[in-house]
Amino acid sequence: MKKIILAGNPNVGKSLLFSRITRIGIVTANYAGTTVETKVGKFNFQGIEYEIVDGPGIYSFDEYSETDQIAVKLINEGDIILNVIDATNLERSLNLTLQLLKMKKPMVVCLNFWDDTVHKGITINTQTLGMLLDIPVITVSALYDEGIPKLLASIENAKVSSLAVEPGEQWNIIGSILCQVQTLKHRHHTLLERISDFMLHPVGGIVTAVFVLLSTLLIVRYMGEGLIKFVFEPFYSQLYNPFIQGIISHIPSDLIQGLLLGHSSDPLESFGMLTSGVYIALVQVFPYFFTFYFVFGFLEDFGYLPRLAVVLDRLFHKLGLHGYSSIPVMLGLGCKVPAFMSTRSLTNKREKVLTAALIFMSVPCLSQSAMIVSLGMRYGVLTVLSIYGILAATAIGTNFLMNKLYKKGETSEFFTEFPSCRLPTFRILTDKLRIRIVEYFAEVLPMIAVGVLLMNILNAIHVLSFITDLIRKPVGWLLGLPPDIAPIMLLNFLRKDASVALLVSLNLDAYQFIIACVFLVLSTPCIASLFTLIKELGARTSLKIFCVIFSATIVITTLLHLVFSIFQL
Amino acid sequence: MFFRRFTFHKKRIRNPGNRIDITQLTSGESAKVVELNDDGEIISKLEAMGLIPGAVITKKSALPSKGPVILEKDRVQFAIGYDMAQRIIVEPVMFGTVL
Repeated sequence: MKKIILAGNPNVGKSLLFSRITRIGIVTANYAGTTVETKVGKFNFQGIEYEIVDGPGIYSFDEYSETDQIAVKLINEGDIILNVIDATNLERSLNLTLQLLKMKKPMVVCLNFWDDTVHKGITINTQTLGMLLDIPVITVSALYDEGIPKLLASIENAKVSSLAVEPGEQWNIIGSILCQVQTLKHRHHTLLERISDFMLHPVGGIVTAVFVLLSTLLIVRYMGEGLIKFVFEPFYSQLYNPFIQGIISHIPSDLIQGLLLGHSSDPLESFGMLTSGVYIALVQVFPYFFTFYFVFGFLEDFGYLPRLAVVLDRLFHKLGLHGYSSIPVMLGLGCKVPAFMSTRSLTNKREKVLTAALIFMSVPCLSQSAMIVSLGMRYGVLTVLSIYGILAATAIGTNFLMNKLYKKGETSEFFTEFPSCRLPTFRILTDKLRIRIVEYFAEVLPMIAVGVLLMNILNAIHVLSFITDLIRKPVGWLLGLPPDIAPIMLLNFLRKDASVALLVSLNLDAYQFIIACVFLVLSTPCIASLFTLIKELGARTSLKIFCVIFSATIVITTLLHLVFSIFQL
Repeated sequence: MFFRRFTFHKKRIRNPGNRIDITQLTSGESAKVVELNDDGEIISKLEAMGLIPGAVITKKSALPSKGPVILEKDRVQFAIGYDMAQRIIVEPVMFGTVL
């Protein structure tokens, strides 16, 4: 079976093309560096089966980051190279094409974003281009799913080009190719380009950032709340709960009934697999998950993230990082797992470590946020705001110190390319949302089941009461929390939303709630993100990061306890 | 006084043909790249984008207090860090003189 490699610059639409060809759903977005790993798929065209591989984009064959290494290795392994080019940015794309030609492998050039060339006033003579490059050139619009069959048909015509490029000659060759195939028409700025200019303006950038942040918060909050109140809560209490109670009550074993339904009628306190588990995952967290990724998906596809990265560059410089690190941190608002994975596109280890620490500490993941907000609002908005304020301050403080103390290395320079601003199509947005929702439920349901089972077993063999006794004094003295928080701390390792939800059963006051939340957010990563972190940075580095953050957590929560005690006197 | 020291070099009047670095360009000004005083990752990325001696770029905008500089070359926009921008030497051009 022939192996086809999708090769090209970052953000030319390789992943979207891959998912159009193979019908495998992958999350795509409009910024350079969305893809950090390889994805393999198969497709059948006229009876011949092909394997097709998608990987990170590269600018050249120089290997600076882990993603560069992955991409270069892939290209070396392929039988056929499918070079994806941004048709609106021919000059730069051809530079990589000429380098790819030197590999002397059968190749096809795919001009993507063909739909965009029209309103950008670009005309390209593809026949001449194909003749000059001496390989087939096909035009495609992956976004609108146009031209894919033609592209697949051209694969069997893939050929080794006879074009020879002398070293140092490539820009002259590109110049002469451009002269022969491309004409640019002058045209006026479109509305989207004006918006883009505004986003990159020194003042406009900050105005946009504040506007986007506030509107995201408002949309997520009100749409999330609305969904809970009018859709999920009624569904749970009127349909699901009576139904499930009715069925389970026929099971003759008390033990199994207890495991499945728990021991309280309040779904937040019962801690049964099918009551609390489903209630937290579906009613409390999912509505926020849905609205957050709806808004975030739009921002990703609009091309806003790299523009925000520029505005945040100064702040990140103070932490020894540069603006591009803000993209992993922003991904961490949703879930830490993709956030840690995207640190791969950063070039040196120092940056990766500092970024990982920031992802870890700055904000809780979305699931946990949803629970903190919905429970915190019982104490008032000030409580919620103080939790986030304390977390942000701790994260920035710790990172600032880490930057000062961590072994000096050169901070690499900031560089980012701006994708054109695009209005995403509805189909792209819903496809992406669907993939994320499936991943969410595939992860959350087993984890909650395991969590409930484990807690019940530990309880039955008296491990929980042992730990509770063990931490009674330190937790009481240092944090001012009841010792019953022990099982919650353990559960925090499995599901960070469920652990916060269980705080309800402790009847904490507002101060204790703040301390408990800060502790749960910072102290331990969830098991999925821990393994991702180890995979990306190695066990030793991960352990070091973990220790630094854990000590910072103890210090900050103890300080909080001290301050709050003084307040209360 | 402090303020004046920072802004001093930007106020300097200069003629086309003067060699300056990118941070000294004003927003909206175009210039021809003369040399790139560095080697390494960013340079190789910039070169891959066609930012080589002889290329004409336009400075679109610059973030305050030594923030990133936003450049445009052949309808493609990108940002580079301030330190990097200082190492790219250009000659300002008036429209029509080079294009």
